[in-house]
Amino acid sequence: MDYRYWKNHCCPRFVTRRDFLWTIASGMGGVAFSTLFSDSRAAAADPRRGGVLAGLHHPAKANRVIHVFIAGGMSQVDTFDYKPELYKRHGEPFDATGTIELFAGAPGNVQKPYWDFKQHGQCGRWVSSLLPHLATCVDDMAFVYSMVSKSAVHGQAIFMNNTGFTLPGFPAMGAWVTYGLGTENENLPGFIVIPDPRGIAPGGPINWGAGFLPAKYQGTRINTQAGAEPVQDLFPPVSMAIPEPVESESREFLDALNSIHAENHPGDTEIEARISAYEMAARLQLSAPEATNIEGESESIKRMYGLDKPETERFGRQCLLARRLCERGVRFVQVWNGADNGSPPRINWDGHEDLYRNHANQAIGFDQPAAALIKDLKQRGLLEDTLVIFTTEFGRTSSAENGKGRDHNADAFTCFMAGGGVKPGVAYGQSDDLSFKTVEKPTYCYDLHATVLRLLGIDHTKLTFYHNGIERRLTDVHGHVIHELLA
Amino acid sequence: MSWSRLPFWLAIVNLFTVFAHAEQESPVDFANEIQPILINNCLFCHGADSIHSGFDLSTREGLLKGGISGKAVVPGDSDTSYLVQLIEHAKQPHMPFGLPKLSDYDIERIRAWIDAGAAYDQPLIEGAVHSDETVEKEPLWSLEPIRAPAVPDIESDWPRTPVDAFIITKLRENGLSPSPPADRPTLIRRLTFVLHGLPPTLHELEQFERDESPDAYERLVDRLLASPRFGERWARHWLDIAHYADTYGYERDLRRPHAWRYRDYIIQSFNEDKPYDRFIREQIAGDCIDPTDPQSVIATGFLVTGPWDQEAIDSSSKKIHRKFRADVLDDMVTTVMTATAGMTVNCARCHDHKFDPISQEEYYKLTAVFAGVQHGNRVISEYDEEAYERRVAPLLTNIKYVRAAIAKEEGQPLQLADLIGAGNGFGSGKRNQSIDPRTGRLTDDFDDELPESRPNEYRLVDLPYVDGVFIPDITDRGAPITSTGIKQIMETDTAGTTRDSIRAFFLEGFDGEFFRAGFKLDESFDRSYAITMNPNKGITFDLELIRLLHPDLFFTRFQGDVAFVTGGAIEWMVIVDGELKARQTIDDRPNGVVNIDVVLEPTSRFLTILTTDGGDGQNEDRIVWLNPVIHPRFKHPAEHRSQPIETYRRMLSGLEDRYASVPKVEYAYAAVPHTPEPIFFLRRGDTESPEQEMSPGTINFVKTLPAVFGNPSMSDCDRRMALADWLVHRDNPLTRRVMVNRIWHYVFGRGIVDTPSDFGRNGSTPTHPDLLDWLADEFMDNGWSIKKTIKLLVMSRVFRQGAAYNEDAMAIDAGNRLLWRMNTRRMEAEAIRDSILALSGTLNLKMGGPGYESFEYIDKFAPEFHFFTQNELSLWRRTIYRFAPRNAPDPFLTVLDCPNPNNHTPVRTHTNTALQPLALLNNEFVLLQSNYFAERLADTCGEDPDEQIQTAFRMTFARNPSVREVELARGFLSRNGLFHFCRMLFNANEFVYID
Repeated sequence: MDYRYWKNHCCPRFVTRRDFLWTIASGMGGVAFSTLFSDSRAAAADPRRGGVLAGLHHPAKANRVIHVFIAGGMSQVDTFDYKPELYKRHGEPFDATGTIELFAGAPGNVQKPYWDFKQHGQCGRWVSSLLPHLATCVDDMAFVYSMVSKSAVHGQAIFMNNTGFTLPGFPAMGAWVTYGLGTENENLPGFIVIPDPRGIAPGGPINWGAGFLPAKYQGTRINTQAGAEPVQDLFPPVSMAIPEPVESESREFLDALNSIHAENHPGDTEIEARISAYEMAARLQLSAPEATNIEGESESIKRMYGLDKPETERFGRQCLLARRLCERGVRFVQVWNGADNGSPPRINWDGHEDLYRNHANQAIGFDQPAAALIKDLKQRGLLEDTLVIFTTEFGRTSSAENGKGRDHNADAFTCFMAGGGVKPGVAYGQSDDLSFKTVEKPTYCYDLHATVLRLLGIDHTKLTFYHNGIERRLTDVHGHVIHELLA
Repeated sequence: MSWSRLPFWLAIVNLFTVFAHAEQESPVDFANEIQPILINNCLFCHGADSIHSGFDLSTREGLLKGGISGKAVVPGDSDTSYLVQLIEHAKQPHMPFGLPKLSDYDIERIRAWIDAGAAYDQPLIEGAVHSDETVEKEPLWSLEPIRAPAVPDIESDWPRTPVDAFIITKLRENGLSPSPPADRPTLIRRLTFVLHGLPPTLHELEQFERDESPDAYERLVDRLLASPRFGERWARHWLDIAHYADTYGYERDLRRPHAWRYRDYIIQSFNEDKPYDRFIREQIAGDCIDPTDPQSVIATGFLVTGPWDQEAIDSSSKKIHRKFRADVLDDMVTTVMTATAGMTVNCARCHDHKFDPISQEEYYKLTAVFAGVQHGNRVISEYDEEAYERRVAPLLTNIKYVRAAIAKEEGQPLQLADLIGAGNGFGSGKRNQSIDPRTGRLTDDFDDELPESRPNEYRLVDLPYVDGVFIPDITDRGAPITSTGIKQIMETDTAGTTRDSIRAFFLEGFDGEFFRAGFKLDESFDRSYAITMNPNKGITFDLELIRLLHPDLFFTRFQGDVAFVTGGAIEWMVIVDGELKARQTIDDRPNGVVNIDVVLEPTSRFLTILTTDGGDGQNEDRIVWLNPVIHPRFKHPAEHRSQPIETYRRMLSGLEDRYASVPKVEYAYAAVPHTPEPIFFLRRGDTESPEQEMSPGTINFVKTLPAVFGNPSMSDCDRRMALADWLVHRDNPLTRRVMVNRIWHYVFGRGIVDTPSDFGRNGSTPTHPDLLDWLADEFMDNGWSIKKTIKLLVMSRVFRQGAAYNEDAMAIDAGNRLLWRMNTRRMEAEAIRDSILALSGTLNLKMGGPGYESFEYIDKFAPEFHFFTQNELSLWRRTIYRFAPRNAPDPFLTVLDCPNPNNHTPVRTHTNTALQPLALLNNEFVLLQSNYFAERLADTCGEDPDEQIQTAFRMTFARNPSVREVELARGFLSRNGLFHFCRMLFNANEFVYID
């Protein structure tokens, strides 16, 4: 490759904008930021910049959301939904009538939980020994035991949980939220996604897409691979690095060209908007390295999230990053735990073959960082107005699949949440004695989404976008705010 | 009555009723107890989306009024309340209809609530109002017949075309006048963008600037319309509407390797100016119109552009299958009806359309039109697979023998994997063939789950050199491991079950890379043979029979590697004639590779290899035998040099050439016809609540045409042809109105109706209804010619206006809906990328064929697409030729607002985010292209900076730079050079905006 025109003006050792900003982000640079962006506006103080809602429909209890998505289908019967009946009926045929059709076939025998349950906290919530760290947080958490989904197929159910539709191509909850509320911090994207570094869950990046909403509302993916730039194209690739003085002069030249163009296009707000997008980009270059650099965190915090142990390091980083982003006013952060499906051993919670082994492997990486996230937000006072929700696409059957596994169960599963105006200690809804079907207060993701929006101060029926004939909503034509969950 | 007036008197009623019953009943919390029950069980049919049996309980007023069966609730008396009898299943129809009976607890709460007066805190749907009468709606404008409006006769010499007359009339009515004409540079840049999605070349610009003849512009229009670049630009619009993509979507985003033929068909159709009526007929029923014409068959790719959930298909649940089939049919109906008729019929899937005159029954009639259509690959070549196989079979047999002869001469070892693939051990077998360890049967189906595994039972295999297979488990009586009854004591207590078949693999390409990554194997294992044997499988080879195949060889040793990935333990063994030769249990590491070398006696008969779970009962670990071979040696080396090896090689190369020259079978991803399945009216759109069977038909609004096409016995082709005929019938006003409006939208940046896929009440009304109808009429008179319609528009003075700002006009029509000036347009993602390539001189104009792939494709259960920088000619094709994965959108294009192909996209949106500047400033593709652009400028302009600046401005913005700009650029250029100059041109506002 001949880079001659690029090389011409690049001395062998020069400082790039990347070097410069990463140095600052690491706390080693003494240069004031303002010298670099003397003309860029200071970070906005307006808490609702860029959203379509003129005002909130309700007083907001939460100002931002962390959504932890547990991919593959976490078993409710082995974690939170304690069913003594399963011990009594363990080993009996699950379906005497022979009529039940599950995703992968007919149910096997009743299978008791693989872990022992104990009551925890003041509220006496039952949690299995699989999740000892989260068990210490139950007094801050609320549980919905009556989740149901329209689909028992991963792709469809994950779409549904994230977008409200089993079909692909609808806007993600985070896209709707930023569409409505904009961002608190103009220097960072309003909706940031932290994928599991092991891989992307079924459905892929369109799970955080903007669907038919304008693309600016799509989730911005933070690169969690080691050594990678945190945000796509934040700086030129190292192979084509550009010295900072050249970069600065280039931007000045561009500004000059754009000013002449703007003079010839008076009153064109779109052209003005594109000019300010370049200012936003410069601010993102400044803020993203700082926001994503966790090296400056104290050792005790790193230990709290499990960064000192190989099994918790990966998800611990994701959770710590989520906290840092929330701290900096990112409106909606989505953290993924669990990757795609493929040949066993699986790298998500889809325990078809051997539930014990699968969930034990997943939980050891998940439990401590998840609990640390709640505790850390709390100790910083952030939990008060940060809503943390944990959802999974569906649960698992209390019948065995091929002896040691559990099949998909879209008719009863559990989700849990904390902070941001959620009443701590609440247990909402109920599944039947075998946790096979929901018997009380069946809750679709519509209701959950409606509740999340409500906590943010939004009436879910009033946040709409016209697309191909329909005023679309996150909650489609459904959704019911779960008042019991509101503090 | 409006809801705002309700609360006051309702509150009084509530107070009264609650008070009256307060002493008798336990308090009921409406919001927390009753409302969720009603919403989750009742509202779907009785208030939210549709109102069945006239009963609407979204408000208390509706609840008390009751439905066609009379009063539903008697406040204070649950015993006599009809609703209670229905939910207790004391009377028919049992409620909630089609759902499980409410729990006793819920019924008790409802009773208590009714006994307490059935009070509502609030309506169930926020803002719901109860209304007794349905408002008689105005007729929907778009369904009215097309009038043939006269071109306005206006006193002005401004109009040059009828379009101008319509526009200026409206402008004048609103006190506006058109803008002065655009200059030539602006005009050619605008026109080339609209028709080609590219910038004009220097040569084109110069030619047009110099051409003083009066028809210079018209000749430019004709030339651009005749160029193949036109089809590439306009096909992109249609593919947006058709939501075209190259993969399945959903969890398993697999490739659709033959989908591109539909994309090429669309490009070709636009370039040929295929009459639009024929275009539509072909896309809906081309295979019926002319099954022998490949293009007609390919056209039906339109029906199957939507996503496909292979995981739903692979589920064993019939319910999941039914639901997914309904989604697939919904996608076909939606695609066809929004694209052609601008009707959002999909809104009537669960209930009657809330705004437009489309009933739920009509929705299912339309569904029935497509009931015989399945997704799939159709053969479009002269030969089908069978004919192809017949032609190549003798060639393959010969190739196999010659290869084996060469291999023997070279002393190559025999590959056991190839024997499983039914080959001769020298690579002649069928890759990926596998043996079911439970039955010994051959299978192509790699199922993870193998239920009903029976351990320690020996199964013969119908392959020449494989003796049999078995599933080992602990036994002290010995497990049979050969057909002759040799037994082996098994000490390991395995799960007794196994997963997956015994597969023969060859590691190459992406498959191989993926495989190697899974086992953490280095590159030396690329192009290896492999036998995959997840724990608890055994296979025995019959060495004696192999020796019969190769009587001139004897075997000296068995060699290979075992690679594994385990969360616990695994074990492997090699047994020869019942004698354990090698064995290892591994439980100290999660993965690794172990080398095996076992000496074979000349008389050995059975070679058995087996794997177990090492006693931990985990059969999901992965084990693979890599390059398991037996080494042969010639018994009498000298005798076998009869044919020199070169002769064999020549024979082989000749055979391989002949094999390669046999024309391949060609496919298109298209509609695959079947006997139509019965289509039922689905209550609430629920596949588990079918009602009456539906006949194929359509929306009933064209009075002169029947809306029912036939009865349920109608053939697939008759159904689709009937719909196609109905759509393009001259009495159907929608199809033409929708298409001319789309053309207007793409030419002017905004439609006369600015919701181009929604001509219903929720969409917009036309700004110029007469013009729309005149164009629709003209369209048919012009033989449904798209190019003629486009020419009509771009020849107008309206199109040729300047885009300059005018404060007075802004005050009247800030949105420029009446077109007092030309709209400034933003380039779409595709146009930006194509223009960058065009300016850099790197654009590869190769047309058609499979899409370019600037990603690494990891072929696995849920495939992955890892995008990389496009930096070679084959990837510098126009963006319409990209291979578009559904789940993994191209990150660069997506940031630039390229829509997701899961959606039908009639209008592109534009946003301004921080990520867009970053993409154009820092993306490696843009930087490399800046470099090429710089090279090109240096090549064409030499060292003179003014010449460079002049040329760069003319190329990028189709105009000369101003003095101020030259000065600015000269200073920048002298300090920073051409690369940085070009990089900033790609970022300039003027580059992405078209006046």
